[in-house]
Amino acid sequence: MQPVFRQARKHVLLTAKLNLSTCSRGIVLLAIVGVVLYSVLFSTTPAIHDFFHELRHSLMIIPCH
Amino acid sequence: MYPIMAFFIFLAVGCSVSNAADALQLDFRTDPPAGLIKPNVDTAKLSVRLEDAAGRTVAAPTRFSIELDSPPRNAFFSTGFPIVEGTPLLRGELNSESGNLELQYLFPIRGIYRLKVVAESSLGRSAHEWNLKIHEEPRAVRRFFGLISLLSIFGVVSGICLAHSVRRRAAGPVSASVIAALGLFAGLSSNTAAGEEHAHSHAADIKTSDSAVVESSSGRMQIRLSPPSATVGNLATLSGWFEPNVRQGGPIEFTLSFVNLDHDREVFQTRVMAPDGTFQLRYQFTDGASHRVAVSARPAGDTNAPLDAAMNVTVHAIQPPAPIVARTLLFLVGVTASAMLLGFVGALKFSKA
Repeated sequence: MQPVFRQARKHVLLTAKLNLSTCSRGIVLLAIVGVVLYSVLFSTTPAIHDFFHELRHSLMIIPCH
Repeated sequence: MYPIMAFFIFLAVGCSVSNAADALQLDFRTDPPAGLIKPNVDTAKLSVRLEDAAGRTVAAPTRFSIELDSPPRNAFFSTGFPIVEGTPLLRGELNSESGNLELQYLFPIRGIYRLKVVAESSLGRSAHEWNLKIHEEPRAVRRFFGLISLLSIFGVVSGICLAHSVRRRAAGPVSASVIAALGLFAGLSSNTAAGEEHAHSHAADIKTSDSAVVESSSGRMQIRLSPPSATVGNLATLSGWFEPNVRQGGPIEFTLSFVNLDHDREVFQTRVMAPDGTFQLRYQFTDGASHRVAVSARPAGDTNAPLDAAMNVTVHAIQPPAPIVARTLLFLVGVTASAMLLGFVGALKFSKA
């Protein structure tokens, strides 16, 4: 878990001074959600796919192979 | 006078044979019942019986033509194996020593399967088609709603954070969003225990082949897969023959068994009789993982140990089509966006109140 929080802190420092509209913030957030969901549930990269394979098959609607 | 009598006798016998053939019917059962079968988890036992009018299983050798098709593709939601949807799963001409045929089969996905059976014996012929409804595994349904709940909570909290930033005119929510998204990733990651890690990496160590020949004191057997490696979504043909050293004239009893090596789970098994010592079965391997195909053979009624042949076959996986991936991803992001909007509007109204 350590690397995740370290990564988060780095992003906090990067984005702390950003001044975006509410709409832009919402879009940025949804884009990040999309990237995370794609990585976990749809990525075909073997290392990621193999790790999450069983999770994908246990979520009912996630297409796999 | 005699020709007239002969005509009536012929008519009576003909009618009785015709009635007997018409009276034959097919009975199909699954164990567990279809409603309790968990797709891609439980291997179900399917039994087809050719019965006479009294409901007794026909004792004569019977030839079963079997067609099993997977459920058609859903307009919106995919299953775990989208390539399998709407494709043929099994085609075979299987002989049995009586009117009873049993198969062990692992249904890969939820939905309505089509099973068509034509049975022919010396007593007559009967054909029937069934629609077999397999429900989704309850644990998968619970996890699906868990994912939707997780995304909804995440969306609502993000919406409240956004509304909070509007009031304060602060830049914090982008940072908060990134942290929350990373938290979401960590949360999803923790759902996959290390022990459940997929074993595809191990499949690379397995030696595969498309044929096997074995020989012993009882006889010689060959099995062969065509094409040499199977592909998800397409039927592969498994054929084989057994030549006993001592010809007894009777049929050969084959037992076929397919095991998914990634999950170490038997996905298909049946026992067939081959009057000419050969068999052929067209089967779709529905999981893109190596499978072990094992066949044992011996002359019917022989009490000696059967001759066993086995080979590991490669099954090529096909990645899900891009439109299905895009649709599912949009649905999940849409759930998050709706929850975010709800949280945002709710927080603004609450703060005004």
